[in-house]
Amino acid sequence: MRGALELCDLRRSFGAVLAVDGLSFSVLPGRLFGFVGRNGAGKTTTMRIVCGLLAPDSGSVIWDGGPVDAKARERIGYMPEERGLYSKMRIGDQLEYFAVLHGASHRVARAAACSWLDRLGLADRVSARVEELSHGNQQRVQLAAALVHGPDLLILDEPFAGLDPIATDVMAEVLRGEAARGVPVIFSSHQLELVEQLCESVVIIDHGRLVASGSVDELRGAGPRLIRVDVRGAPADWTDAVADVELVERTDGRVVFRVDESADPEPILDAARRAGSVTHFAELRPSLAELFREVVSA
Amino acid sequence: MSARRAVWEVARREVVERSRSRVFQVSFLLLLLLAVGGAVAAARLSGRIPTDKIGLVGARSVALQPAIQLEAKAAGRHVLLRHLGSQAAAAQAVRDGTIAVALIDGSRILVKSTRISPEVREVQNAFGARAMLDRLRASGLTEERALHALSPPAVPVAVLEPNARNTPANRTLVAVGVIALFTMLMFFGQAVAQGVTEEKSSRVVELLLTTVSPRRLLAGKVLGIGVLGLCLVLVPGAAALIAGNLAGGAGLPSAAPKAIALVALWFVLGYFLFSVAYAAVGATVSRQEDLATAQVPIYVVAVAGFLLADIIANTNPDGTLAQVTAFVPFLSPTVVPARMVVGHMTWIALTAAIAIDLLATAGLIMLAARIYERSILHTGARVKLGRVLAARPRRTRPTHELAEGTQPIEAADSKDHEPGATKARISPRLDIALRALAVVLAFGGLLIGFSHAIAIAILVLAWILLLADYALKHRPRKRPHSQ
Repeated sequence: MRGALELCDLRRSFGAVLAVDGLSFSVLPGRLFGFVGRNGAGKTTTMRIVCGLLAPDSGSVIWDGGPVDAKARERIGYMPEERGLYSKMRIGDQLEYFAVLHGASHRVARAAACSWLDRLGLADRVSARVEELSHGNQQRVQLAAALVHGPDLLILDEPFAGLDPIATDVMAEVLRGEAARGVPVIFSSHQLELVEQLCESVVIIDHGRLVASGSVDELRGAGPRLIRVDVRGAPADWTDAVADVELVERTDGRVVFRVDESADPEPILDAARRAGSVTHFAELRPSLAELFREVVSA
Repeated sequence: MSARRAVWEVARREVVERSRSRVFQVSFLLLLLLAVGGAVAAARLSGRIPTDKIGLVGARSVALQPAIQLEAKAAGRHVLLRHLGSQAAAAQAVRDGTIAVALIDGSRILVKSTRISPEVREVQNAFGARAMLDRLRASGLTEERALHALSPPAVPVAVLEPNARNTPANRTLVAVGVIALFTMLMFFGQAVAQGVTEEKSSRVVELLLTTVSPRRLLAGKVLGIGVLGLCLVLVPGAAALIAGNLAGGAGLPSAAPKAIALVALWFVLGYFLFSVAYAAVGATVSRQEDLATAQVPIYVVAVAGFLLADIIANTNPDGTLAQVTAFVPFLSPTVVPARMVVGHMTWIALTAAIAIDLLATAGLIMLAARIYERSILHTGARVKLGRVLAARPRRTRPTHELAEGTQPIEAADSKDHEPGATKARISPRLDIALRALAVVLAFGGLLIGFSHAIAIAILVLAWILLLADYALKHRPRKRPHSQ
C-alpha cells in the first residue's frame, strides 16, 4: 500500500540488552498512530531504526513499498525525544537549514520556515535565537523543525512531553492536520488519555515486544465488559437478585458487575430499579491507561 | 541530496554562523590590526634610515650643501638641510632640537651638548673634503684631476653567505609565524571539537543525522571551519605584507612573503590533521566540560611541535632533531616552515614532509570518521576509544550505520556507570615509575643537548613512555558482550 510504513520482525540489542525483540506492525497513511510503552520498552530505539539512525540486527522497515534509504529519509519528519536545536542560531535560519538538508532550495526552505513560524505563532521571532525563547516556544520550533520540509512520514518521540495545555492543543491540532494531509503520523507518549483522544490506532510494546495493537475502540472493546450501577437507598444485598454476573466492585451506593459479552443488561437495571432509585447506569469500557496497566503487568 | 550538496550546506552554515558571531568578528579585527601594526612597526624600526637635520647659516655654509649631501649618502643616511637667517636663529633651533647641528658661515659648527654625532662627522667631512679640494686646486691640479685624487679605489668585499637564512630578522619572522600558526591551528582545531560536542550535547545531531550521514556532517564542519581559519591566516598575512611594503623604511625581511605562504600552506595541511583528531575527540564526550580534559593529548603533541619549531628548529634548523621532526606528522606543520625559512630544507624534503603529512591525514580521517560515527549518538559517560574501534560483524548495514557502540540513553547510562568503570587500570606504582622514568630521561636528554643523536633518542623514549602510560591508563576493559 502506498505511503504505508511497515515494520517487519525488527530486532536490535545493545550488548546483553534486547531493546527491540521481533517487533512488527504497520502504520497506514493519514492515520494518527500512538506508540505506547514503559520507559525502556524500546520505543525510542524503534523510532531511531525507522529514521535510519540505528541499524536493526535483523528485520526490515518498508515504507512506500521500499526500504528506507537516504532518499526516503529526506521525506521523514523526526522529532527526537531529547530535543535538539542550535541554541545560538536564529530560529528562521535554523529551520531553513533543516529544510535545506532535506533537499529543499534555500528560497523554498526560507518560505516554509516563515510559514511554519507564522502558523505556530512565532512569526515575530524569526530572528530570535533559540536560547532567547521560552521553553514552550522552543518546543514549537522543535515541532517546526520536524515539519518544515513537508515530510511524507512523521515520527515524533514524546512530542507532548513537557507541554502546557495550550501547547498540547496546538501540537494536537498540527498532528491532526498532518494526518488529514495523508501523512502517516506515529508518535510515542505517556499521556494515555491524549493518545486515546487523538489516535485511531495504538501499539503497546513492552520489553521490545508488541503486546497489544489495533484501533483504540478495538482495544477497549477487547477488555472485560463491565456495568456500573449507582443506586440510592438500596439494601446492601440487592445484588443477590441479579443472576449470571460477577461482582467486581462495591462501594456505598455504587456497584460494578462483570458480564458476558452476549449478556443482556436489562435484568440488572430492573433489579436495581426494584431496590432503589438508579442515578447512574452505564457500560464501563476500560480506559487506555487501565488497559495499558493490564497488558504491561501481565 | 548529493554528498557534495550536503557537505556544502553544512560547511556554509559553519561559515555563516561563525562569521556572524561577535567573538569571531572582534578576533578578526584584532588580528588584522595586530598584523598590520606589527608589519608597519617591523618595517620602520628594523631597517629605518636615519635623517640628519642640519642648519646652514650664510653663503659659505650653503656652498658646502652638495658636499654635505654627498657625505650623508656615503654614510647611508638621509639629510634634511635648513637655511637659517642668523646665528641666533640657528642657536635657537639647535637648542629646540629642530636641527641637530648648525654650520655657521662655513667655518663653525654649533651643537647642543655633544661634539660627537653623525651629523657633526658629516659636516666635518664635507668641510675637510672642500678644503682638500681647494688645496689641490691651489697646487695646480685641474678640478677633474683633483676630484680623481680625492676618490680612493674601493676594496672589493667578498660575501661568503650572500643569502644567509639564519639571520636575526628571519628568526624573528619564524618566531612570529610559528606562534601565529600554532595559535590558529589550536583555535580552529578546538573550534571543530567544540562544534562537534555542541551538536552532540544539544542533541541537534540526532535531527541532522536523519538526512546527513555522519561522514558528510563531519566533512562539512571541518571544511567550513577550515575556510574561516584560512581566511584568518591569509587576510591578515596579506595585509601585513602590503602594510609592510607601504610603511617605508627598509620594509619587511625579504623572506616574509615566503614565510607567510609557508604558514598558510602548513595551516591547511596541519589543520586537516588536527581538526579531524579534534573532531573524533569531540564526538566521544557529551558535555563541553568534559572536552577540556579529553583534548589534552592532542594539545600536548601540538605544544611539542610548537616548542620544537620555535626553540630547536629556529636556532639549529639543520640539526638532527629539526631534520627528523620535520617528517613527523603533528610536528611537521610547525617545524617545516621554521626549517624552510631559517634552515636549508630542500624541496625534495619538503615534498616528502607534505606527502607523509597527507598520508597520515588520510589514515586519521578514516580512523576519526569511524570514531565519530560510532560515538556521536552515544550519550552519557565518555566513550572509550577501544570500545568504539573494536569491530563487530553485523549482518545488515544500511547506507549509514551508527549502530556499533551506540546505545540509547537508558541502556548507555546503566552500563557506563558500572562501579569501577572509571577506576585506574594500572597499578599506581607502575604509573609513578613510568612517569618518573620519563621525566628523568627527558632531563638527561636535555642535559646532553640536542646536537647529539643519543639525546634525541632518549627524548623520544621518554615521550613513548608517557604515551604508554597514558594508553595503559585508558585501555578499554574487556567486556563479555563486546564481541
